[in-house]
Amino acid sequence: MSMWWLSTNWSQRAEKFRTARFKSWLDRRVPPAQTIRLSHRNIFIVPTLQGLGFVLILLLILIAGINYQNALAHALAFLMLGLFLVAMLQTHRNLAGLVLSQTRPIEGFVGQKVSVTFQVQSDAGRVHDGLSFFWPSRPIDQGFAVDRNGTTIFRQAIPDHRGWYEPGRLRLETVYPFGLFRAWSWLDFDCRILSYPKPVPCDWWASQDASTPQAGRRSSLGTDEVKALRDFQDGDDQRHIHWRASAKLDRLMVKSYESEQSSSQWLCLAGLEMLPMADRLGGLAYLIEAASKRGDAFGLDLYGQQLPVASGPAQERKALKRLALFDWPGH
Amino acid sequence: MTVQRSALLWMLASQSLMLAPHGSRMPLWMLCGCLAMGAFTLARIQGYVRLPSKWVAVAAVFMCWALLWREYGSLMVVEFWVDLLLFMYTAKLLELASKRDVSQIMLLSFFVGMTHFLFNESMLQTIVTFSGLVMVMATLIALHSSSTQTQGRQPIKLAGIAFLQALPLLVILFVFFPRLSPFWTIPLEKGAAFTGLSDRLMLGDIHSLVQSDELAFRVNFTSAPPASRDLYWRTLVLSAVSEGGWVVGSPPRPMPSVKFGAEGAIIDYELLSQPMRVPFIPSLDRVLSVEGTSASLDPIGFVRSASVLQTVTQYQMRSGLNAVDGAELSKAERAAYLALPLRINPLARTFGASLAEDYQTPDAVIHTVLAWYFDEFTYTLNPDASKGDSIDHFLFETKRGFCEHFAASFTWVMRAAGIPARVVLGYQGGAYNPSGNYIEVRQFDAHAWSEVWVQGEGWRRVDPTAFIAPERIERGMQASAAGMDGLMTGEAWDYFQMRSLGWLFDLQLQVQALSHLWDRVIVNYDQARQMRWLSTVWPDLELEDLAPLALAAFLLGLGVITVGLVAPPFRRGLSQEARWYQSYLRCLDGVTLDQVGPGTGVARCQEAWDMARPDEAALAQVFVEKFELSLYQEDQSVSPSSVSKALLVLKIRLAWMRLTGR
Repeated sequence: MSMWWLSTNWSQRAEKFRTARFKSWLDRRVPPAQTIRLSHRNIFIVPTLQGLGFVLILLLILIAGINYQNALAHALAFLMLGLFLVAMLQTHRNLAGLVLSQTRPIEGFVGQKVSVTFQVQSDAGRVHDGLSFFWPSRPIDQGFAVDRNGTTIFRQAIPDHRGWYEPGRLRLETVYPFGLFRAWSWLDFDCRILSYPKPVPCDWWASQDASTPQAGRRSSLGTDEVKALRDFQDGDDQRHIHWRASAKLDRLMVKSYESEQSSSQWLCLAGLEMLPMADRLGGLAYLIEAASKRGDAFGLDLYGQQLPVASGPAQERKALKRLALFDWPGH
Repeated sequence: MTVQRSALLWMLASQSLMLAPHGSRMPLWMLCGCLAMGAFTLARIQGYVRLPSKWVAVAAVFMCWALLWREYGSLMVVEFWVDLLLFMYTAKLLELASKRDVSQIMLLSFFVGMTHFLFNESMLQTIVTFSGLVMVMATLIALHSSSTQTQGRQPIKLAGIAFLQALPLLVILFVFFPRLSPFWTIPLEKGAAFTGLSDRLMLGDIHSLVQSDELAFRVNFTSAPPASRDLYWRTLVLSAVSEGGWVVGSPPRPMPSVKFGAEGAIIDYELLSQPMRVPFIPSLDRVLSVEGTSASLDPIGFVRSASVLQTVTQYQMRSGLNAVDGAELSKAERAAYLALPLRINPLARTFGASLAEDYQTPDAVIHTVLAWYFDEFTYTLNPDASKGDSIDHFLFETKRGFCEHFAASFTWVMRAAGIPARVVLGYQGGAYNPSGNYIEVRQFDAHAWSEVWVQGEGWRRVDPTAFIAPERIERGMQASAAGMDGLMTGEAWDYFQMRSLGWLFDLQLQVQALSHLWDRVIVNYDQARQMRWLSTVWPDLELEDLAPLALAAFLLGLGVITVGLVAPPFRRGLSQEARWYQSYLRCLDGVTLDQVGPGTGVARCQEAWDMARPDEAALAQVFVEKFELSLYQEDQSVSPSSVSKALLVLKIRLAWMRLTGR
């Protein structure tokens, strides 16, 4: 019964009707950009259900005024009409003049939260109150206000597939000040999240035993001179555990063969055959992360597409980007 | 509750303001109920109590329905529905849970505002209602705001701005919007009775009326108003006797030969009547024509309205003053105006019959009775209670009476003497308000007098009170009341006391004049007035031009508001400091400006100005100090608003100085 009064969420409802044709129209109307200034070109405005109720009451008052020949009831109805229109203009004004921008680039793993930062400034130098930010889906708080100094909005998206993940247009919405109108804008920041495959834990060395040695170019298996001991990390070869030291220190220690390992480790997709097809890229992502965490140098070989051996964060990003954008049937 | 505390407090405040005008009218139990629900919500906001089960609200509304039914006894009374609405408006507080509920209450507030105007259309009421609605809008702002800064007075400020922005549209539509005739007649009646004349005269009725200082009607004359002794406002003609009192009865239709003597002065006036108890409108002496909503001229010579007036209504009238009407009486009329019941007041009947034997002409009879009144009777505002045959009791025992006693007994005696006569009820005199140039008649001006029919002359007004207490007629009720200190009681007496205080009286006159202007111009702004007003600007205006004109004016107003709101602000690129500086430069006079040129620092400008015009430059000192502090000090000890304020003060004082040439 209360359904009737539920605030009409025109903007949300409209999303269901976002056909291809509508999308192309919207792309022309509100083209993707890194910085967007809200103006009459990209603001949509429609009365809320409260607004329609307001008009209904206005009409009732006008009818009562006419039937009772009551001049002041006429005046009240006219005041309400004036307020209704002023509410429309003010709600529009509450969005107009906002400048939004989004800092790039953004990367993240599939299934994990990715932080996205938006800058909201007021071009008109006034306070914009009661704004809600629909991105990627529902607003998470009570809304926010922007004053002269601007504000920064932090939101999180969770990519659901590898490659370029597009979370869609952002909706900025307001019913302020009177709740009689809902003004909103669909903004496209050309925001693409480079999403890496979800890391799948695996043991590289175990796989190496079973596979051909062409990829694993570890020439000296544990026979090199031990340079140092360090804590055990995921992905370390169990055979390198220094059991005596581990017993003494009461935690797992591995022998480190820095010079050898850092120059000679190649991670290849073909070497992960013990994993199911879909998880192989994830396995590589896991190994890349693990190697990078250790500070090891590594190279990447994706069915012949090779990334030369290097180390450091730049290498890690390069490698993960290769994984994210790797295009091969079945992966 | 998911609603901010501040929004809830605003809601309670605005709701109280919207309920207050009904407070004195609604039943006491309901007032208490509303206050209790408000207090409960306040306690809930503070966290002392929790939301009751929804059955409490349902039960409350049903109980209210039943109690209201008991109170008014009918569904066809406006008060019943208004009170029910008000109760549900308040009971919504018992199920208040979300923002949506607050929104709903606030939207309903607008409808509650309309109900105020059903009972009171005064200027004060309008101010109260509209300020209540500004509070309602402030509530909505506080409700939808998510800014932590929107605290304190900020919502009411923004609401006030929105109200002022909507005001031009209100004015435009009010002036131009075509006034339509009612779509259907409303069967609902108002339950409350108004004070005023009733359609019968029992001795003592008018006496209770003169205790009231309530406004009866106000009159604007196109020329100078007549003297007080000529202001006989005829309202009802009582021509029959029933149960010992005079009543309207149903006199036969008069013959249609009404002609006027040359001595009658024709007077045009505008009468603004307050709600009445009876479907009759007062009119001055011999009314000739009347224009106004559902008013008609009765052949007997008074104004009827189609129904009892519920609201303040305006009439254009024309009257002949002191005219001889020259009416002839048909046989049926003559019989009707001579009829007296047999058994009551036998002494008065005998007395009248003996007069008819002793004197030949009606004039002689009339003069004899008036002379008798003058010699032996006393005019008093405190007459003895009547008993038995009230007229006999008055004429032959107490001999102390009020206008109603004299009119009733005089008419009785005339009929007994064979002279056709009738009682007229109405008002006499009125107070002139020089501030508004109108005459104001209050309930204590109520009066009764007689009319007798004289061959060849027609109906002649005979007012026995004028013989016994001439000051009542010459100078009005106020003078006679002042002469009889302490005899009059009640609010009317307070009213007279107030009038004796000089400045307070002047103020009161001005307030009354303003209220009268409001009633005439705003409350009675109908189609006729609209056309009259608009045709002074567009002489060829037709009724059907009104709708397009209204639309055009409305769109024009809307356009102006849109440009003001949506267009990019003027001088947007400039910082606040630069704007202050430019404003300051504009304050400098021409000589100084030539010396300093654009871009010179404020301190240097001030020096140059001080050389040229020290008195003007002295005014700017405060601003310059604040401006420099805010520009060069880091600690923000000078707020931007105080600099703006100093600038505004400078501009005003400078303009005043230059205007007055000092």
